[in-house]
Parts: sequence; structure tokens; C-alpha cells
Amino acid sequence: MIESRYWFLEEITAVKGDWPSRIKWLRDNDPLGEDCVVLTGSSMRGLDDAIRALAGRRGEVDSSDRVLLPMSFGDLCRALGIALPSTPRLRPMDFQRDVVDAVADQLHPWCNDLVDAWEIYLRVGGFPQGLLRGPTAGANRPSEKPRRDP
Amino acid sequence: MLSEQQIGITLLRARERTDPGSYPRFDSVMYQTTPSRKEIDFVGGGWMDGVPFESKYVDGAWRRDARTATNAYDGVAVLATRSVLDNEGRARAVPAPILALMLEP
Repeated sequence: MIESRYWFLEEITAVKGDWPSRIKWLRDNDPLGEDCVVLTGSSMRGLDDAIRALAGRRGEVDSSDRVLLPMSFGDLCRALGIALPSTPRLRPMDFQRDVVDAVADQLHPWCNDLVDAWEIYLRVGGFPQGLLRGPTAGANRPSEKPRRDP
Repeated sequence: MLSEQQIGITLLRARERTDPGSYPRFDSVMYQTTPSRKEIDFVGGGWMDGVPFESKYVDGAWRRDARTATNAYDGVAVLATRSVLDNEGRARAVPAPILALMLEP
């Protein structure tokens, strides 16, 4: 008996041709159908084609689609060393409630630094390499310097 | 425009966190064109619970920019500014960086 294997196919959306159909064929006709296959890519359209082609062939994993997005603004603040108070995560529906005012009051004393950091965020787009390369030349920036995560 | 884009991405990221796999469907955060041909930047289905979000990267007057959203929706509308914080009335102005931290601390 063959042990289940793990396949990691990186940047598969860069492959020319009908790769979703090839993966589908392998899932149906090859022992790869019993393996764990992880497909990664940068083209949402290509991944969308694969999601459709592989319907019913994705095993029993819940929520098998995962998205790796750029750094959040909170991540960038931490990278810049801006010490902020701990605040709850709000949902859009929470903006109907008074809790929003309390959280806004907690963060507002940092508003000037946060605006500077936001404008850095608009320049680097949440990409760590952009932050480390110092894309802030010529811009207002908080006094804290970028630091690498340990 | 860049600030509007990042607020949109922040909303999508917050949605992805509560419902993994929702991001590629692109149906949870959308824009809306009203019958009078005006645009609301970000609206959504059940997840956004009828709270529209607008972006206007200003330090000053902002209420006029929230009018389209407050006319189209019954409840609160949120407008992401550069630095204005104002919670009087149905339209709330919140600095974009503070709004982003509220949705994703």
C-alpha cells in the first residue's frame, strides 16, 4: 500500500496550458487522487478556473481555499514599533453601536503617528520587502525605525 | 484613491478572516451605483449588515461626501477620512488608519 503523499505545486498559475484539467485527470486516474495536493498561485483567475475544474475532487477539507494577503495596517504598525493599546476586532455591523466610539477614543491619541504610518502603508502596499527597503524617503514618518521580526 | 483601495482590501481581509475562502468569490465587498448615478464605495451583503463605507481622504469638510450613503441606507454610514473623527449623526467620520485598526487590530 502506498502511503499518502504531499504535493506542493508553487505558482501553478504561471504554467501555460490547461493545467486545471491535468490536475483533475490525475485526481481521477492516478494515485495522486489519494494524496494531499496544495496548489499556489498569484492569478486569481487561474485559481478560480481550478476551483471550478476540481469541484468534487477536493477531499474532506473544510474551507480548502486560502488567501495570503499583504501585511495588514496593524502588522505594519507593529513593524514600525508603534505601541498601540489593545483594542477589539470590530465587524462592520459594530459601527451601528457605541463600542465604536470607545475604540476610536482609545486610538485617537495616536492619530498623528497613525496618519504618518498610513501614508507609508499606501506607499509600500503592505509588502515587507518594500518596508525594509525604506520606501519612505521624502515622506513624513514616525520616529520609530522599521525593525525585522525576530 | 490609494486610501480607498486599502480600506477595501482591509474589508476583504476582515471578511476572509471570518469566512475563510470568501476572498476569491469577490461577492462580499462591492461598490454600489445609486439610481441617481452616484457611487457608494463599499457595500456588502449580510456580513456588512447594511453599513456602507465611503472613503474621502480629507482633513476638513466631509459630511457632503457621506450624503449619498446616508440617503441610500437607513442606519449608520462610515466615511474614512485622513484625520477627521466625528460621530455626530448617522454619518461617522473615522480616520482611515484608525478604521483599518478597528477592523484588523
